[in-house]
Amino acid sequence: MGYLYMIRRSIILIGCLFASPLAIACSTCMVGDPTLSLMGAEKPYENRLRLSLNYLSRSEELGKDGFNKKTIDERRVSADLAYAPTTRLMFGLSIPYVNRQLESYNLTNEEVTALGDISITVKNFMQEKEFLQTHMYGLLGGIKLPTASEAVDGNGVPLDFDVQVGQGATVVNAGGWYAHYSYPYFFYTSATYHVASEGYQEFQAGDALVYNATLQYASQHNAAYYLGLEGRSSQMNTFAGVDDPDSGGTIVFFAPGFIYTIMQDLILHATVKIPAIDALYGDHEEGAIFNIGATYDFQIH
Amino acid sequence: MIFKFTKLLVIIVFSVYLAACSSSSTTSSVGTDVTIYTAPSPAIAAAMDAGVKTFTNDSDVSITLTKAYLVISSATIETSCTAFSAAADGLLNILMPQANAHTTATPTSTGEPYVVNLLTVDGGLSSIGSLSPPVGDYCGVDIDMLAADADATNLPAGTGEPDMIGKTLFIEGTYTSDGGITTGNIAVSTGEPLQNRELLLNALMMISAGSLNGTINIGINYDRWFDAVDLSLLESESAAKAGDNYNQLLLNITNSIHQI
Repeated sequence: MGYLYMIRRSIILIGCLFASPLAIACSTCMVGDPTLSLMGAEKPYENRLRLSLNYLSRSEELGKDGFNKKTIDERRVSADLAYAPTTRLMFGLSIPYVNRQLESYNLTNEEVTALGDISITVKNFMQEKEFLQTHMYGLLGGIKLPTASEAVDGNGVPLDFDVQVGQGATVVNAGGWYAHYSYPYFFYTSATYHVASEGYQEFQAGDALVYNATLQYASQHNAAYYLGLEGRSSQMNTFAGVDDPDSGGTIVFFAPGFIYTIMQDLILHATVKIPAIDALYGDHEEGAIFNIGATYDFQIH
Repeated sequence: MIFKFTKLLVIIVFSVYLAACSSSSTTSSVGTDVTIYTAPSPAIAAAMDAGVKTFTNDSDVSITLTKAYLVISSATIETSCTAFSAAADGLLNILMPQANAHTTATPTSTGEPYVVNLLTVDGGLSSIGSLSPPVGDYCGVDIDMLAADADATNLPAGTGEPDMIGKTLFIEGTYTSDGGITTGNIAVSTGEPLQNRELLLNALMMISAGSLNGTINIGINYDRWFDAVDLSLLESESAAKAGDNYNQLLLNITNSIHQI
């Protein structure tokens, strides 16, 4: 069975080579795997460079109606770069530009649009095989830097913490990942633990465990559908050492999406994330998240 | 060729994005604001300037206060006032455990205790806190009086002033009765909580988008504190804390809080 599988993979690879005059330069051909992959789930090859532009919108509510309710709407565009200097290491850079709007129980309306907190990630690949891998795994790590300035009003007074586009804190994370490539199927899972320093307005984020698992199926060579579960379990946040009762807990999103190849090395993807398990503490509701983006593979090899 | 254009387009889009990241904007609108003030406010005696204050109680005893401090630990504005009454009823059971007055501020409640000095100028308003409440029609304010902690505002300072941390009430003074025949001292100091004052406002304070601001002015009728009180039982701090007479003093203090 393994022998037949290798023959099928080789036929697909050869097909890629003859599909286009420039197919020798295509990223899936470079890794010998036609699996379409989002940023962070790709197979590396030396000097692989990807750029992704993503748009996300979400909303959440904190507090009780008629007492202390706040509604926060967020729209975010982020540019993500991923670069693999070798087949064993991949670096990532994420530069978000964020718009947040806050409607508060006391009729205050605040809005901030600015550069958010920039993240740097590193991913290593520990599997034995260098090419045509089926199973891949390794470690993940990253740091989010407090690059977003604290927004203030005309009198220099900081705006509400919940409208700020950044925490003012340094957040480090570490974890692991696993991927299984079996075209047309693809499975990916990862988990990372996040720890933050103190941020603006004496805010201290609680430690958090972020995890996901995604199953993808390619209905055809240039299109794939996926179904994922993405979760977050965190401790309560604090302000000046006092617990924020409307923070922390667990939420798991059900995340269906699709990937489509517009042209060689340029893919479009879209996801909607719907809260499936909501065990957030206190009066805290998170709504659905909409995400759409495009990813391009530069040919610099 | 199309692939060259794609790469160029991606680079241009990325460059434009990076340039856009350097811009930022912030907008904010003013929300609701309610400020609560207090003032010494004699009910019967003529208004007096700051300093030692002299007045008579309901038994024509002349009382001179040389120090008088009361801690308001929090003031909470309410939209439901069915349980509120014009005056506290009956004598108090004040066997409550001592508690420090640092409640958490909420949109409708001040969280920082304030030490009211009753010897400032009569009618002079001092802010004990500001709130930013949700819209609503507020009918009353619930005033708690618990012992001050180190975070209390307006703690007395200076030589001879009492340390109000851990105290709810501090009174020093003298009294004269029977045409000057009987004189004595007044010395009251306690860290016990006083009964809270559920004060009904004279009119609804309506906070809305068209009316964002409000104020509540609270007066303290200090000249009514010693009505129906045997002052001879208040001459030392230890002796003062005895039975119904002491309870009457504390009840008078709670009842002395009103809206001006």
